[in-house]
Amino acid sequence: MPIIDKARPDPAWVDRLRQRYPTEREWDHVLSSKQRRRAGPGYTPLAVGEIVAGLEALLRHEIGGDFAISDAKWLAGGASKLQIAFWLEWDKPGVGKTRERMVLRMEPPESAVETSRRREFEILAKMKGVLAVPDVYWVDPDGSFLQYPALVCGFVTGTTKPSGITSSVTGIGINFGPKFREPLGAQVIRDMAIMHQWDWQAADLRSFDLPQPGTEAVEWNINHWARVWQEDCNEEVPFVSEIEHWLRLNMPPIDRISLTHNDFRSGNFLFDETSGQITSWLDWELAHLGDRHQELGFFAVENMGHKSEDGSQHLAHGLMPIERMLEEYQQVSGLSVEQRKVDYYRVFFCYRAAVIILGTCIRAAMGGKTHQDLTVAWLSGFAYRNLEEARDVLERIG
Amino acid sequence: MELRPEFLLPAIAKTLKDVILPALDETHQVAQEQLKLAIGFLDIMASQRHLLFAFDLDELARHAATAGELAALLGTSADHADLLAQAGKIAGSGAGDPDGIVALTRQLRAAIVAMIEDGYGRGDAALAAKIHSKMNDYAKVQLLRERGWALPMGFENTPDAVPAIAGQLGKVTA
Repeated sequence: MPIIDKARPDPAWVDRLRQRYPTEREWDHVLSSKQRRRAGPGYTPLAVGEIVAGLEALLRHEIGGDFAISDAKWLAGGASKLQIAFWLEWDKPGVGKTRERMVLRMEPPESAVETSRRREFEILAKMKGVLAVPDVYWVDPDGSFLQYPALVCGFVTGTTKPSGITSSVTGIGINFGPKFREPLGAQVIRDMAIMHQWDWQAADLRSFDLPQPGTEAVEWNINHWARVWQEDCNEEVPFVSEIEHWLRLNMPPIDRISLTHNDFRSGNFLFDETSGQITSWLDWELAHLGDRHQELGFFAVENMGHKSEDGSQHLAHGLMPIERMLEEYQQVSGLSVEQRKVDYYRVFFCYRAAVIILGTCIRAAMGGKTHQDLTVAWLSGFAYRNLEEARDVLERIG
Repeated sequence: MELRPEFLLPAIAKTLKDVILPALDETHQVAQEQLKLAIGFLDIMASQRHLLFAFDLDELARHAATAGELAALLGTSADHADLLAQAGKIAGSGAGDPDGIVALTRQLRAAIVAMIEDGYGRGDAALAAKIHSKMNDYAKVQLLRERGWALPMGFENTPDAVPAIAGQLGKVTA
């Protein structure tokens, strides 16, 4: 068996993987870019000033010289992106001279999930007025101005979890408490229904490939993560390969192609603790056109939730029992739900988590490629619960 | 030689906890989190280091068994005879070079994956079902071991449901 040096990948090997796992063009672009950077240096700590200099270059290119950046600071949160908050004084079109707080989201040399800033920028712009999302302003899709690909969006207030509670490093298993979980759960269902009913065909999504009805989008999705696993895993995990085969053999045809956020979960929305209202949906970078059951399957992943206070119910993503969520989703959206497809995507998300955590996170930490290598390494401990949940579901549904 | 990891790892963790952590800027959340994770990893390495060889040897034996069963199922035992014989010898003796054991287990893992590919690639539904069942049996034990090893990381909702790794490996001391 030939030995592949994944820390210094041979372009011919990468090309063979591209042929073996055809996927969306933009996904292919970012994955191939990652492989080209792999043999390069690890993450070197960047001073805020260095990043601001790149940001100024981007803004000069986009809006000319009449602006001022101030109070730039690191933002915590998120295992995969470098984030800086800053104030911008500028002559905003249609508004005039204004000062507003913004966020720069930039990739490290390699992150837990390699995604496209171009695509994130595009879908955030399209979602404005559809769902609560941050305003987006500028994108540097290939790192021409900044150290790495980046985008600039508006600063949104809110929190991912109620004040005073602790949660794991990734926000897994957030406990919203009885006060918030009911209203948040209803809003999550409402927003999911809006997203799935959104007329993407009228939106001219240029960085998205449009799948044919049937299983094309499902296969692109599996191929995406199967390729990531091949490119990143340090040691083979036989059960990951087994699940991939099961997913391929059991691909459910899509009856209606919808926009799916693809990471629609607790921890990826902000809410206002006073009003209990969702103020923004974040992390749209994995969005694609696919099956609405994908989101529902993610909510069915038990590892992302917890038990109610009296221990009588399991709360999907800390919000409500999954049975109730599926029922209310059908009522609100008017779209049908097939349990078999929910189970399928539950397995898919457990598989994807293992690919990201045991493949990419370990690889990134080994190469010293991120700004928080220990966080991504620590996440590896979460992979086995996900694989066990997939195993448990597969044992039940066959 | 006295400078051994059994006392250095806890000593480093204690220094980080007692001296460095209190001196760190409380508002620098990324630094706070990275230091706490560093301490966490050191604690785990210190408390489970003595189990590592037993863990690796157990992995070798189970992967050799699974590879042997899959090879028999696919009729390719002869292709893997050398690897399986080498693994069986070490697993049977309970001794060997630690790095060599890990490397051999990785070869077995790769061989198992290649056999899964081979089996599914034949397009035989009955064979695929047998592979699926075999891999489920394998994963049931393998994942319990992995979860036992990762238990101190705090990802289990019901940690009592996962047997401690020392017990799983038969290394509980009175």
